[in-house]
Amino acid sequence: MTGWLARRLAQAGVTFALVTLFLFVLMRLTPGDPLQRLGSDRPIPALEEARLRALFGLDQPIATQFGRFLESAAQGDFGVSIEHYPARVGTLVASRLGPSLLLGGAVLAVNFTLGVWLGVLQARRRGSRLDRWLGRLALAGYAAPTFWLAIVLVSLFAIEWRLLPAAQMTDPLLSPDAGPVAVALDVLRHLILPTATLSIVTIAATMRYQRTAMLEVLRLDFVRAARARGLGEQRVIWRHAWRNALLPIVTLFGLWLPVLVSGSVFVEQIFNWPGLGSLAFGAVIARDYPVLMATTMLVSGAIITAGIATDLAIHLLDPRTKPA
Amino acid sequence: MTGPPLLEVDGLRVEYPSKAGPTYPVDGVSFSIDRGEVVALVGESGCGKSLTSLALLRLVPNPGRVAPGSVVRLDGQDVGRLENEALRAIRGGRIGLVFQDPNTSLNPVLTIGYQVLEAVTAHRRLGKTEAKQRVLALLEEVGIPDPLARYRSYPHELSGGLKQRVMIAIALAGEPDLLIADEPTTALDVTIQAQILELLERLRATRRMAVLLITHDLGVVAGRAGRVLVMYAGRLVESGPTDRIFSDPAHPYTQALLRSIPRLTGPIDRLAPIAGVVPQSAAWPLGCRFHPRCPLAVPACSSETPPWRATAPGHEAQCWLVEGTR
Repeated sequence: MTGWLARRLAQAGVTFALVTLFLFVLMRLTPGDPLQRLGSDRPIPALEEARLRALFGLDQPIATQFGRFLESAAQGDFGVSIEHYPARVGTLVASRLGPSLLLGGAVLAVNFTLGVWLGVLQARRRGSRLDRWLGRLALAGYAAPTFWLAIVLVSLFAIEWRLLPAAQMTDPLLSPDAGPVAVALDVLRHLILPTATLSIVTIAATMRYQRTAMLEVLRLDFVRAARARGLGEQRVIWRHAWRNALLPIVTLFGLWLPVLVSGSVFVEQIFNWPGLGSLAFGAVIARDYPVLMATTMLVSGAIITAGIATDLAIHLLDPRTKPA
Repeated sequence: MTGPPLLEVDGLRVEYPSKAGPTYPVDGVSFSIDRGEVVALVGESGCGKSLTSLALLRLVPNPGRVAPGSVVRLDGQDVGRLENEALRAIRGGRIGLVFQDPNTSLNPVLTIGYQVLEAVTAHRRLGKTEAKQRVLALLEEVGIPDPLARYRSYPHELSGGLKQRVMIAIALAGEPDLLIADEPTTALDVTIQAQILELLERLRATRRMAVLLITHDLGVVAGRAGRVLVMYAGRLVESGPTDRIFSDPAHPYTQALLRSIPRLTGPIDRLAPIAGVVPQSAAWPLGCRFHPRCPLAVPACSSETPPWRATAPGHEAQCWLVEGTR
């Protein structure tokens, strides 16, 4: 097991290095340039542009730029943002990480608790009216465009019924000396609509995977054998059947895990959620190389880590798949 | 023995819905089992014998169900009316069930110890150490070497024979009065089969429980069961003491079954297979269900269900050709 893990980690290191190189080069080969936008407001003297180019190291060959980037990144320094000059990239990313983790965590929690429960319920009532309607509703949610659904929810819950805030993560009018409980409740109220939007469009996959996996397990002999030894229905369903229908869900969960740091561009834009998704989106538009490098490396690192974590979880959950 | 039998089955039918109306793969089976008695239920694949055993515990796979009007009584108690807790007390408690294939009947992701433990604790409140002691004792009783090491094993780490011993330990966990063994050796190697059958016989003797042995193999029955029930196409066609079934089978189907067993003694002859296959439950033949394959069929066989006729005390067959009285 430890040998397997060491091998996987070594492979992950190589992958991560290659991805970093690829991202760096690709970004600079993409048309556009961080300083181009400056010229759209006002004419910039050539001398000033040359000074700025030198300041951000953009006058160097790509190899030199990459070398410098690696050298400082290895020390945990991702440089200074061009768009948000003179903010440091590390500070920018750190300030956006919390909101992304919060939104992503809420979506994963809703998606996988509710999705698993509904999928199991569908499987237990296979072919019933409940099963069919849950399937249709989930599919409708899956088919809904994210931005459209977000706008519909905002216009209903925030504008029509005035139940929930339309945007932001906190109420700007909240008294600055509000207690921690009041602040937490305020954030929670702001969290509901973006979480609902993302959950509605993604829960169909969880439900379908869970329903199919559960149906496959429920017809196996050991489920009947568990009933035959006099176990209660809940124990038969969850401990015996679901425990065996868990692996596809763990895989799916692993694929979703990077959403914690990648955020969701659409939802963060519409709800003005101060997460990494909107930071990355802004960085793409502005060709803000340092911020783009930091956010994309964070996401690719999360994807690679989630892959290893998924395999590890599967090995731990299924005694038949002991890695060599 | 006097008093009511341990298990009484009367007119048991299993119903499956279909577009053309319900079908009855088990269609009116009646028998009883006394305490400590070993009864064999014999028949070809697809005759409904496994379904009969599942129906006794109301474990018929969806979308089937035990048809209304069927009666299953355990010690005079109507199992058909039980729900939830009371039903679970019977399942694995008063009646233990050993399945055909131990390779698929154990949960692959739970340890052996865990699965026996939950069977033990499902039927009695025990402390943690007490329950574990009980599990180890059960594993020991079914002849599993080094129970302590096996406690932590997963099913895939055990051989088929050991797995079947574990299934038997699970079936014994609730101290059953009746053990149903549904083709307990079919999925095992021939060398292991005899060991498992011997184990069942030993357990029956020491625990004084009744055993319903379900098999398609008449060779397994000889010398083990006191009484034999022969099942064909969802119905019983003959029942009687084992020695009489072997020496003087009354129903043509039983006779044909016996002719199809290979023998080690006597002249080496061709085996006599029974022509044709078991009919499907969607289209049971009218009259005697064996008549399309019966070499002795007379016109009455295809129109009317024959009555039960006794050839000797306790030996009955459902056939027009049997001379006897009822």
